[in-house]
Order: sequence, then structure tokens, then C-alpha cells
Amino acid sequence: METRSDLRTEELLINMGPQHPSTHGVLRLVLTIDGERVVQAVPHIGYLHSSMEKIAEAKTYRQYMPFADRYDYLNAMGNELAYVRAVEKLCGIEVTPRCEYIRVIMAEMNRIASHLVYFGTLGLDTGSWSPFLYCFREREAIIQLFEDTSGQRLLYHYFRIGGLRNDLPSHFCDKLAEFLDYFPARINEYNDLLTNNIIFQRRMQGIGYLSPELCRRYSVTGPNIRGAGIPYDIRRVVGYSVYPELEFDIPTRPEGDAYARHLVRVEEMRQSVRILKQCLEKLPEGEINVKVPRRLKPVVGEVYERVESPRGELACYLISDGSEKPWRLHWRAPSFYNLQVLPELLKGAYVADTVAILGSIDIVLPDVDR
Amino acid sequence: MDSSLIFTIGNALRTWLEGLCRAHGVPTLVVDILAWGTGAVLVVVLGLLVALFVIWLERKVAGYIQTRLGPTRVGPVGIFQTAMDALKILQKEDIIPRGADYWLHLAGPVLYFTALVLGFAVIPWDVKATLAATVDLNVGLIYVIGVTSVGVLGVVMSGWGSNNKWSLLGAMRAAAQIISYDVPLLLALICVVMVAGTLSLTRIVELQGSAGILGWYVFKPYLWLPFIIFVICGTAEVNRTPFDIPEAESELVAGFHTEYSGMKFALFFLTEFDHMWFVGLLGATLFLGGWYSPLGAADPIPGFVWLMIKSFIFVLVLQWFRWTLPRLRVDQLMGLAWKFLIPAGFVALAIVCVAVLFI
Amino acid sequence: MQDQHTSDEESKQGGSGGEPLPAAIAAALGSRITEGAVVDGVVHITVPATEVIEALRILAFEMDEPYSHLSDLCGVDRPDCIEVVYHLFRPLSNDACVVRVKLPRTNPHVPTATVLWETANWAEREAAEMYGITFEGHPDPRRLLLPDDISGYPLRKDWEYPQDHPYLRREPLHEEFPEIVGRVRAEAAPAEDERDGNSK
Repeated sequence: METRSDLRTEELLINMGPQHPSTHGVLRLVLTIDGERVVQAVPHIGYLHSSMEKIAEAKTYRQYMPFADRYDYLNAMGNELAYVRAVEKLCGIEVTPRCEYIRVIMAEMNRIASHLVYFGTLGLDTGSWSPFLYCFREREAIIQLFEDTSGQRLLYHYFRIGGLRNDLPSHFCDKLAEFLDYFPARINEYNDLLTNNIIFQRRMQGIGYLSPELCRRYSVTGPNIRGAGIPYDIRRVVGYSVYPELEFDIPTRPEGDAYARHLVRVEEMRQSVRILKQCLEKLPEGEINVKVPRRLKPVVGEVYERVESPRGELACYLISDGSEKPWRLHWRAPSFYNLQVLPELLKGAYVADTVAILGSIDIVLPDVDR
Repeated sequence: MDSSLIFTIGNALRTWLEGLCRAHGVPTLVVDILAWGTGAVLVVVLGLLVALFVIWLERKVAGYIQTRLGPTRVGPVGIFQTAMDALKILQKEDIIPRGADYWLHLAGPVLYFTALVLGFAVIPWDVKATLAATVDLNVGLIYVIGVTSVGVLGVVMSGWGSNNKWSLLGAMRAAAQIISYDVPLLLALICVVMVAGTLSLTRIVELQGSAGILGWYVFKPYLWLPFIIFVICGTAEVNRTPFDIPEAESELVAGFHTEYSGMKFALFFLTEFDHMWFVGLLGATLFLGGWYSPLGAADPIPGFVWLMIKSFIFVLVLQWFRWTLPRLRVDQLMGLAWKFLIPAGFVALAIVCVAVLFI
Repeated sequence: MQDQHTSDEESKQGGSGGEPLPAAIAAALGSRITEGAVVDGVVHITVPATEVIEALRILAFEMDEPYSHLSDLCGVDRPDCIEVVYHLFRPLSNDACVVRVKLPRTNPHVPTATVLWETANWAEREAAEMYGITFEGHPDPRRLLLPDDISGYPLRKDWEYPQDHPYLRREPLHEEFPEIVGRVRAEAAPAEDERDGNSK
């Protein structure tokens, strides 16, 4: 076939976001595409920057609590956990065992809820609508429990420095036990809908390959690094709170592709159910609050407190100058670090893979921009 | 039968008008044009009404699959919801983006809609469908394929004319997809033509009905493979999940109709749902015995109703696909057409050749 | 109970307090460490800006048990200097090493850590726009989170709130709709007087 040398082709520069149905918020990706192939992807962030770290310097330690909920809004309890643990470590406060257990219950419930949102939105990204509504049905059960406990449905402001806002409502344990009984069967239902679907598998397998070396270079954490075969889980590595007393596995997959990350998250929901069941068994009676001075003035010093959020390693870096307000607060946001690896994963992928890979990394944009 | 009454009235009216024309020295061609026009308007109106119903059905089916209710407020079980939506969308501003090619932007949805509506002309509605709306064309099947394929031109025009990169990508995808899936679809249809020995849709239905329910082509084992290919390609032709990549909203925002609003968007929307019904009609005509009743000739229900029931079985299956399956990727879509469906089409053709020779 | 903070404790974050440094780190880095301490099991070391990349490289790649996980990188505004803090961890463990670089407030410069970890890219861009630190050799030294036209470095303690910036105006309503605000205030004023009168 004759080729015409004067026939010029060029790469197409296309703006994905900030207004786009599948960028999970206001991420903007500038894609250079060659036909359907992505040549280069440049993420632009900052559309949701809300000066969380500057705000902290103007608030007292207690006043900052509600802000901790507000950037990774799918993991509000987990953020609160990181913040209260950092403050308590700085002040040398030991909380009661019942409080620790309730905090772990809340964090794990929130992990399930967050993974359910991930599962549903990944379904939307790959063009399957129904899993989303099924996932939200179960998420609703969890949120209902949160609402009964804290009065809020998304941003709970339930943890307090040295304890909790209030004890669990009387029906909480029964309701949660009931949920834990039927939930594993529901996970199978979702797998039938999405995970085991041959089209979904063909789409997710072999795309967005994340090698252990790439994970190190980009400080990728959470289910993403576990999908690359490295059992890096802060709950096990640091063993904070009561996690050392609980039995759970850290699911890993050796493949490193988007499907492996998906399977890790599905398995993590099962492990969270396991943790919650043990927590309900072991939940001790007693006080939930310890006495904390009205004017909270930690000693001069700093802490770097890490917890495992559904998205990875969440850390709160808190520096105190001895006054009532933090001198500096810095969030090590898992999404911020995980998102940076995206351009590497997108090289050579199809445009359709872009949303699938982005969905499989599971970012929350306020967590990226803070 | 009830339906024959309508046709009797129609014919009587026609005879009377023709007499009137002759009495006043007007050529009877006027009556023909009037009759064709009435028929065409009837079919278009029917198509639009059915499209509204199909959209409502889609929302109800989606609700049922997704453990929710779907529309409930407007009318009993929300049946008038889509009519209200259509009225609302009529009032919307017609936005033409800056830098868009005005005529292409305008002509895209019109062509898309027209191409589909033309296809309805040869669908045999009933045994006595002598209204001018239905033409018993001796190359009916070729006409259907030829006319409906023009629709892709409308898609490409609207994609190019919108001055939007997402639209352009969607249009290119749509063109590639529809051209690719036309090939196996044609192979499947050739199998039917070989068995029937005619291209006329009316004749194909009559041949199926002559031997009772077992004469329907879907019950002939050597036509099972063409039937499966037809269902898959039909889904692809109407751009529905798992083949909805031209308008994949999680990737391409809304594909080729990203920049459309108001009635132009409604035209795209209605055409898509009408197209689904059209594929159902075609499937019912070619494989499910058209207007024939499964209960035999003594059935009092008009053939038209049976045709509707059969076509809506297809519609429901397509809706079931949409709300349970994820979307294919563009390379997998092409791979399915060229690596799997076309070879399967040739195998089906070979099987039918043997069957026609020896059975 | 926590109120007895003294000036001694200020030196806790990297000063001479705490236990001595582990021998492995002291041997590997040698004279590069200007200050070092172990507080609560966490190694804190301070290195000069010129040596930081070499020190990080040794910590991350050349030790027997390397601190190869860069957990976080951020800037801190201390009263006397601007700091860049690198939080390093050993993989799959909780062993931490906090590396600091103290920089002058005017025109702080430090070499980029992106040569060791690509992930430092965004963290350094954030620190650069928030603290005005220049990361030499950074591959993409643009702003990350803030609008392009903002002046100053917001996380510095001496940053002045830019009243004239369109995104950051404190009372947008008052400036954009003066007549409405004036009318509302005028309507509200007699009511207040009345209430005051009633209360008397």
C-alpha cells in the first residue's frame, strides 16, 4: 500500500477533568493521546485545596477535631483516629481499653464503607451500574449505625482527645453483629456481579502494572502496594491501638495489576469483618473517657503518628511549641502519594483504561489536595 | 380479527377518496401521496410513543435490577414520567458551541433519526398490513441494512461538528464499531435469507408461520448460531452496554452527543431507544415468526400485538444486558467482532449451506 | 501535667537530649550529622543542606538495613530557620529516621530528593510554594495546590493575609454589593435601637 508522506497525523491533547464523570472529584488529567492510546498523562491537582494545615495553626487541639474529618471524607473515623492518637501521644494520655476497642470498631466499619464506595465507583468506571447501588445498600447499614452513634452520616466528629463523644447506643452491638452475619454473603453477591464477570476481568487484568520497585520510588502504600505483593500494612507494622490483640490476615496478590488491587480490597472487607467480630467479642465494659485538662497544652515536641487508612499510610505530623495551638500540623495523605504514580501507570494504556486504573488506585480528591 | 377492521376502514376510505378524485378530475396520485404520508406519520408517531414507553420501561427494569423503584410519581407507576421529561427537554435552550459547524451540528441528529425511521417502512406489522406505511419490498432486508447504516453518518457528523474532542473520539469509535459489527450481522442475516430463499421481510414471516410454532427460525437448530450472532451484533448496533463505547460516559463524558441540548439531544435519545425496539422488531420478524401467534391460527389476539410482545422480549433482554454487564474496551470490542464473530458467521454460513442442501 | 515545658525540652526535637545515635547510622554518616538524637526510639538527625542528598542516599540504599521508604517530606517554619523534614522508615517495620535540614529564612535552597524518590516531586512542590524553599534540580518546579497569583508563602508564620486577592477576600459580600449591605444595615439599625429601648 502506498503511504503518503504529506499525510500528517498528530497527537491529540485532551483535558480529562476537572469536570468529568470519572475523575472521582475534581482531578484534572491532561492526556496526550495517539488514537486510543495514552502517550502522556499529566495530573493537575489543587482544585480542592482547603488549607487544612494552615487552619490547624489557628485552632486549638480540640477545635481542630472536626477538620480532621473533612478531607478524606470516606474515612472520617480513620482520620480522627490518626489525629487523636497524635495528640494523645504528644500529651501522654492513655485512653481506656473500651475506648480503644470502640475506635477500632469505628475505623474498621469505615474501612468497609470506604471499600464499598470504591467497589461501586469502579463498577461505574467500567460501565457497570448495578454494583454501585448494591454497595450503597450495605454502606447505608453502616452509615445508619454511625448515625445512631454519632448523630452524623458522613463527617462524624465522634472521637475526642482522651475518649469518645459518647458510648455506643444500646442496640449497636446487636445491629452490628447482624450486619456482620449477612455481609460476607453480600460480598459474594458483588463478586458475582462484577469481580467474576469475564468482561470485567479482561478489562482489569494486565493494566496499570505496579511493580514493587515502582511502589518504593513513589511511596505507594495501602491496598495498592499489597496488590504488588508486599504485605505492608500499618496495622501490622506499627501495631497501634488494639490491633496486636486481634487476628487478621493481610491479603496480598503478586500480580500488581488493577485486578490484583481490586481483589485485595475485596479480601480486606472480609478481614475487616473478621476484626469486627473479634472486637465485638472482646469489647470490654467500663469507662470510655479519661480525664483530660480543660486547657490542653502538650509539651514541646513532635510526633509522627501513622495509621492504616483504606487508601494506605495515613500519618499526622504534629509539632507542639507548648501552647494551646499546634505549631505545625502536616498530613501525610495516602492519596497524595498514591496519585503521583498514575502517569507511570497510564503510559501506553487505552483511554478506557485511564478511568479503570484511576479507579483501581482509589483516591479521594480532598485527601490529595487537603 | 380486530386489526383487520382498521385495515378495512382504511381501504374503504382510500377507495372513497379515489372516487372523489376521479369525479373532480384530480390525478389519483394525490390519494397515494396522502396515504403514504398518513402511514409514514403513523409509523413515526408510533415509534416516538414506543420510544417513550421503552425509556420508561428501561428505568423500571433498571430499578428492579438495582433494588430500587424507578419512576413512581407521574401517573400510575410513573408511566407518564418520560412524557413529562420530553416536554421539559423541549423547553431547554438549544446550545450550539462556539466553533461548531452549524450545519453538521444540526444535521447530525436529524440524519440519525431519519435513517432509523426509514427502516420502519418495511417492517411487516400484521398479516393484512396493507396500509401504505408498510411496503412489501422484495429486497426488504437489504433496504433495512442499507438505510439504518446511514445513521452512523449522522453520528460522525455530530461528533465532528460539535468542536469537542470527546465528541470526536466518540464518533470515531461509533464509526469503527458500527462498520465492524455490520459484517457479522450481515453474515447472520444471509443465513436467514438462504433458508428462506427471499429478501422480502413479509415473505420471510409467512414462510415461518406456515408450519406452526416449530417453523419459526429460532427453533431450527442450524439457525441458532446466526441467532446468537444477531443478538450480539444487534446490541452493538444500538450502542448499548457492553458495547456502549461510543458514548461511554465514564470515559468520554457522553461521546458524540456531549455538546447537544434540548430537542436535538432528545432526538438522539429517542432514536437510541427506538433503535433498540427496531432491533427487537427485526429479530421478531426474522427469527420469532413475526406477527404469527404461538397458539396457532385460532388465536383471537391480533398479530400486531404478538409482534409487539416478541419485539419487547428483545428489548427486555437488551435492558437486562445493560444493567448487569460492564463495558468492553475498544480493542476488545474490535477483537470480538473481527476475531470471533466474523469467523463464527462464516461457520454459521457453512452450517446453513449444508442444512439447506440436505434438509 | 503537661504544662511544665521548659526551654530544655525545646532541644528535644533534634538537639542533644535523648539517647545516643545507633552506631550503624553514626558510622555510615559520620561527620555529616550536625545534630543527632534518639527520642522514643525514633532517630532524629540534622544534616547540612549541601550534604542532605548524600546522607539520604546512604540511609536509603547503602546501609545493611536501609531506611528506603520515604514516608513523608514537608517543610516546617521554626522560629530561627526553615526546616525540611524527611520521614524515612525501614520497609515493613516501624524503625524511623527523621532527617532534617535547617535553612536560612531568606532564600532557602536545598537539593531535590527526586533523584532518590520520584514521590518527593509533589511534596517538594508543596513545600516550595508553602515555604518558599527552592529545590535545586527539581524536574517540575511549578506550583501545585495554590492559585498562580498568590503572593508570599502561606505556611510561613509571618505570612500576611492578602486582602486584595479575589479568592481570599474576607468580606466579599460587603465589597461586591455595598448598596445591599448598606440597606440591610440601615434596616437593622433602628430595630436594634428599639430593642435596646425595650430592654431599658
